[in-house]
Amino acid sequence: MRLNKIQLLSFVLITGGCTFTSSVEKGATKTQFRKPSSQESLDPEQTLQKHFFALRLLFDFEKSPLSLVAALVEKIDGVSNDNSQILEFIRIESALVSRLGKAVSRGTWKVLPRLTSQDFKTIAALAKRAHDLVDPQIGTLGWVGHSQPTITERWLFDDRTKWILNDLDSKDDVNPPPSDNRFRFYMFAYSILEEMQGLAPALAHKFYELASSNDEKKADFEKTVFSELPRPKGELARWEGYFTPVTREFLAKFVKDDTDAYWNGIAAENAIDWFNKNANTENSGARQSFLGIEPLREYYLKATDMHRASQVEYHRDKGFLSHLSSVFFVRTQIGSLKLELAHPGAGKFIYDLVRSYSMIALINTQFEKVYDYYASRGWGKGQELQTIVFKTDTKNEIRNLHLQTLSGVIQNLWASLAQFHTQTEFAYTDLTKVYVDDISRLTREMLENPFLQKETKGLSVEHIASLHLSLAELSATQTLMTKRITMVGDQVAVLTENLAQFRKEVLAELAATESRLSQQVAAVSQQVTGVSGQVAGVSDQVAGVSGQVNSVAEQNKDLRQRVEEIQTQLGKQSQELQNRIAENQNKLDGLMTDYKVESEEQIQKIKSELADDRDKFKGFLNQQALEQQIALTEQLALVAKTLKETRDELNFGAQVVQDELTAGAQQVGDELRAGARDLKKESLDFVRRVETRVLEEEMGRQNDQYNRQMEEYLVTVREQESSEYIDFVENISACAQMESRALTQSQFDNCFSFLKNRISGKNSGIDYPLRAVSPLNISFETLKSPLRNLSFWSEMGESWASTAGAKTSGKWPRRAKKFDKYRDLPNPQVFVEATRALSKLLRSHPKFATQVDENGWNEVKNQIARFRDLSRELRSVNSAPILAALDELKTHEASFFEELNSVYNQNPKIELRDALKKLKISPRTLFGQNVGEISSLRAYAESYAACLGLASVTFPNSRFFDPMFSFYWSDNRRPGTDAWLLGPAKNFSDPTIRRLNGETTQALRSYVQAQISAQPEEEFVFGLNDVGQDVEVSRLVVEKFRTEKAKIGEALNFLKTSSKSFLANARKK
Amino acid sequence: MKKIIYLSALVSLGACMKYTPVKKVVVVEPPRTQAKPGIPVGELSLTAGLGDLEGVKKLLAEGADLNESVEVDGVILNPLMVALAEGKEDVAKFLVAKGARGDATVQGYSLGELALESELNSLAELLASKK
Repeated sequence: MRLNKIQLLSFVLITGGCTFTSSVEKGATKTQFRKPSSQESLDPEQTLQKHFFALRLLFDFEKSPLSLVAALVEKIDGVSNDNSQILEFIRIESALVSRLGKAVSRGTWKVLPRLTSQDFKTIAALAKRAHDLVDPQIGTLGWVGHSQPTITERWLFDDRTKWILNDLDSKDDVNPPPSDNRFRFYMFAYSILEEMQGLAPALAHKFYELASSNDEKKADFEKTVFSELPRPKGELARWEGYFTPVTREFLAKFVKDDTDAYWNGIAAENAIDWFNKNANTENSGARQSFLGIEPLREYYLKATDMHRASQVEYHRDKGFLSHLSSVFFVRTQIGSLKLELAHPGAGKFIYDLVRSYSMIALINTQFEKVYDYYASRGWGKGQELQTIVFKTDTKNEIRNLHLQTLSGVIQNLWASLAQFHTQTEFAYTDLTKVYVDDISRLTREMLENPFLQKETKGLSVEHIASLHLSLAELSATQTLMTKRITMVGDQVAVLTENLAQFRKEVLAELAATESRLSQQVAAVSQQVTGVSGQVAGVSDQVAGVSGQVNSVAEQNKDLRQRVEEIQTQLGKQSQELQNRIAENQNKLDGLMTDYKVESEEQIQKIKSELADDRDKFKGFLNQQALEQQIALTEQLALVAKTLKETRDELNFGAQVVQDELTAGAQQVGDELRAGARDLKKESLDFVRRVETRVLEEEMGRQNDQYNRQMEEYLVTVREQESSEYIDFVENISACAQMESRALTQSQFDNCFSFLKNRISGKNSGIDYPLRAVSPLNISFETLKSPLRNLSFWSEMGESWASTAGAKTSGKWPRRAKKFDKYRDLPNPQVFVEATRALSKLLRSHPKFATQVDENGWNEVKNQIARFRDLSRELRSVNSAPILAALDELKTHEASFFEELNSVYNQNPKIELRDALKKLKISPRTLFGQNVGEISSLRAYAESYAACLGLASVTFPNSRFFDPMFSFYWSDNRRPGTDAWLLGPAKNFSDPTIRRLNGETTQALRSYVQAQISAQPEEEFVFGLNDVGQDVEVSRLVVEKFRTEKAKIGEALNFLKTSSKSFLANARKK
Repeated sequence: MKKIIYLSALVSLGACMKYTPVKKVVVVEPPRTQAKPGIPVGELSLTAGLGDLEGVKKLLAEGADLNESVEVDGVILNPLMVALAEGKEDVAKFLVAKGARGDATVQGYSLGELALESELNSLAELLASKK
């Protein structure tokens, strides 16, 4: 017969309860309820004490299974009909405790708010009734050693409780209480919960103070609770005021100020984890306590035992431990079991707790030892403790104290034993024996104590204890036997299962091996098929492998048969052993049925026989299993080794074939690639050669054309200028010859006409004098007026004559500085000669010599001033293309910096580099902006100059007086030098021009050329005749230049990318 | 010969399952087109791109092709182009001085223009003077 553990526990305890009840009945008959069986009777007070002794037992047993409590209640219920109200209270309160205990055990305190207001009203009513009934006596009984009021006292004295109940009446029972009452509700429920678990946290103490104080203190309390306590967050913060620092730490670690999480409950696993992590701190090292470390164990003792003999102050320290002991491993069996499984030693701790020094001392009623014990650990002065414990030093108090202690000890021992059996079924053997022995010893010591024998004379404690002892030993033995039988059966089952599993694994391994071999054979066959010239060899190989596979399969088959044989043999042996076990069990059942008559020797015999059987069986099983395992392992190793060798050889053969294939394919691929490379290279070389030839031909053609044009141009210019010079010199010569005599009118007219035409450039192709003079509004009619212009032209002519003469002396005449501003005028030689000739011409004419008057002279001076101003202006106008480009540059820069500023304004803290990054502008672009632009501008200027040089070929008339020339000409190319005199065409020999022509400005030149060619010759006035158009052309040139520059940049990037790619590939190789 | 060795190996494998390892046949990749024996194509371009002037001199002394053509992604490069692209002006000038052809174009632009764009002005002038 196998007993359920709970049934066994119930059996033990209920049987004890019956015995106890019978003893009560025995006493009761002596007084009120039944006829006394002896002459001695108890007084009413003593009877009442018995009832409350039973009540205390029951209260303490509420930690036991509810069915057991119910059984005890039922037993007690039969004692007295007069106490039905007490029993009703006990029953209902037990149910309530069970309900709350379940909530706690599940860690789901959230269920508390789900208790309806009706539940609490019922509780309140029951408490009121219980208080009315019990309070007069319980006030003196109370808890051991202190006068802590019960929950009912606190509750009923609390006006707030009544108010809460009234408040709840107006609410819906189904829905949770409203939030504004939540705090009160929690306080209320929490106080009930804590108190009903026999615990008294600081909150309960506060309630007690509230209940027992006057209105003034109540107000102070409320003020303290609701106003002054720190309130970091919500309701939990208000609660924290009630908790000890340890509790606050506990809550802080768990709930992290999350009120909902706190009320939703704390899982026991989380608590255990937290204890493990904080094991080094004194107040949180629960795990060290579990391991039996003395200081923390003492702390637990202090919290769980000492508080029963101490005052309320201890409850502050106890509050936290109440959570631990009650919630996690005392009150909740689930939690305890988990704790024990997760942390071996927790059950040992409970055991240590029960058999602790203080408990033994209390059992022996050696109070002095208790005091010394506590005092030696600094828990208080012995005298104070003595005062506490003996403060009601009356006979009744002492007796009650002893009764409570004794009953509590007995109850705790058996409850712990039961709980220990329940929780530690995996380690029940030796520990249980020690435990039973220890309890038996303690019980005997207790029973032999003369003081207790005297004080518990009428309670048949000895009988109770002896019965308990015998029952416990028997039940423990029975449990032991049952457990051992179960263990043997479990071992057989485990072994059988292991064998089956092993067989299954071997078969699976063999099947997998066969599958792998088949796959390998298939793969090899496929490879062999692919290699036509190697089929024969591979086929031989496959045949050999197949033979090996067959041999392996045969080996597998043999092995499988051996395994089946072993399985069959083991099954038979197992069956035999089970039969023997069944026989033994039957014998044991028979022994147990007649255990009252059988002697202790028989029990010992059975036990020894069973132990021998177990040892033999265990040894036999171990030997069998070991031998079989060794044999199977060897077989398997052999098979695996053979398979591995075969696989290695196959792999090697396949690798050789694959290497051949790979090498062949690689060779062919390399040859193809090399051929393709050569072909491509030849194609590209051919294309490049063709392109080069075409380009060379085209370039040659263009060069020829260009040279031809140049030669034609030079011939034309030189012929033209030569003829002009010839004419001019002839005319000058004629003038000189006519110096001493007056010219004829026709001669003068001819000479002037020449000069006029020379100056106007109509015929000579020199337009600069027109540009220089025309802004002066000096008409030719004015020039014709010798009287008004004689002095001017005379002075001008002399100045330029001096200037022109300086070229030979290398010095500029001082007088000529006055006209230095004119020296940059292109080709002043013509002007000088013309003016000089004109001056001489005018002077030679007697008609003019007398016609110069004051007005005419002033007019000349005014004209000179205007000329100077306009010349300055003209010079500035001459640089218009550059200025336009600079303006454009400035505009570009302004827009850029405006954009940059906008970025900065959006985020003032942004780094300059980040801003540039945002604008996608490299710093070099920024700081090289001016440099780049100026460089571009210079390149533009140079290009433009070159373009003009080229343009001058096409349009010789526009070659002079271009601003770019003044830019281009260096200082050593002052007017009058050979280079100057040779004119722009000569500039093609200039290395800079050549470079520009050759490299940078190739595209620009073509572009300008196209621009010039696109316009009708008569409309294209290249030069300064139309500054606007010149600027437009300049802009187009600049734009084209930038476009070309961008394209060149792209080409350069392309080249760089290709180069990078090449270098990367080359490095890899 | 390789097949004979291989078949003999297979025969021995099938007969006694004692396989004597055969030395793995290594196929040597055919050499690429080389201007001069011993100097692979691209070596001079790589050295020029790395800016190793001494290496370039050494390779040229050993007979490397000054105008070797290397192809990468369909683009034909030569040592001068690689040096120019990598900004190795000294090497590029050395190559030009040694007679490297500077008539190649990239997207229609001469190497001189690209050198000017790279601000390698002396190289550009050298290319222009060689034109």
